[in-house]
Amino acid sequence: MTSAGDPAIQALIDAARADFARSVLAKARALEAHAKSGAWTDARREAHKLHGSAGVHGFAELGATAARLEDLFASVDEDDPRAGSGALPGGSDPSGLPGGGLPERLRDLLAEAERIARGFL
Amino acid sequence: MKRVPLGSRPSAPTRPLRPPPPLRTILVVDDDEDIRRALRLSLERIGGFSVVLAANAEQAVAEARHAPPDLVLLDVSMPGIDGPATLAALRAIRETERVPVVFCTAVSSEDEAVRLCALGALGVIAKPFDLIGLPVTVRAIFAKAAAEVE
Repeated sequence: MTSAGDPAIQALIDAARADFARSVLAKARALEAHAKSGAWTDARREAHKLHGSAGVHGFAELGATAARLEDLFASVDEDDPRAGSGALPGGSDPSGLPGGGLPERLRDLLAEAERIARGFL
Repeated sequence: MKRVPLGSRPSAPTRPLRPPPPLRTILVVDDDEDIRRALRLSLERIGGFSVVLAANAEQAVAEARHAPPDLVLLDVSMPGIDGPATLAALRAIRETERVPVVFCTAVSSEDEAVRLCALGALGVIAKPFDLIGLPVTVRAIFAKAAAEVE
């Protein structure tokens, strides 16, 4: 076992965090694409992954934003015809998701992902 | 020849050296590659465990059957066969029916933890977990498992 204060271990943790940060914008954009096409199950899965992995790497705010999106996607009734036409043209929110606010939440996620990615360029 | 003062000689062992404790093997099952990598870093590099990775239930069952691990750390929400169904599959195989399983989940309500433990899991670890603190938690789980056997 290695000591928690070991600089070599801290370097590994930092490297893993940087790897995640460099990939986070692509993950957020993939989630957005699923949401825009009304692929709610895929969108929920991406949000779920970001919820877990962002927090592990110390990006709590991104994790919380992803968790809010995950909750929103989880509330979709796939049999509801409004949910099936969930495209988001022009930033409107025709998804019919309970509680709404999908465009805003997606914007929050992308903004946070961009901020994180910029910090690790 | 250079004389070496007696006091500086390495002392001979007075009793046989104990063999090192066996390396505990943990099978990590998670569909998210980021989480698998993080768990390997935490448990293997920081915690000193041996880690085997599986990305889905099928891989997990095959790995566990081939070489039963000392612990399975199992994601709850996976596409296809989810964590609870994977646990049921492990329990149905003679080689893995007694392997301790701990769920790892981002859904961390107390009700959910109780539900998961009622399925036969030894415990629940909440995501996000702390990379440095996780090995300590896992060691406590091993101690709990040992106590339950005794």
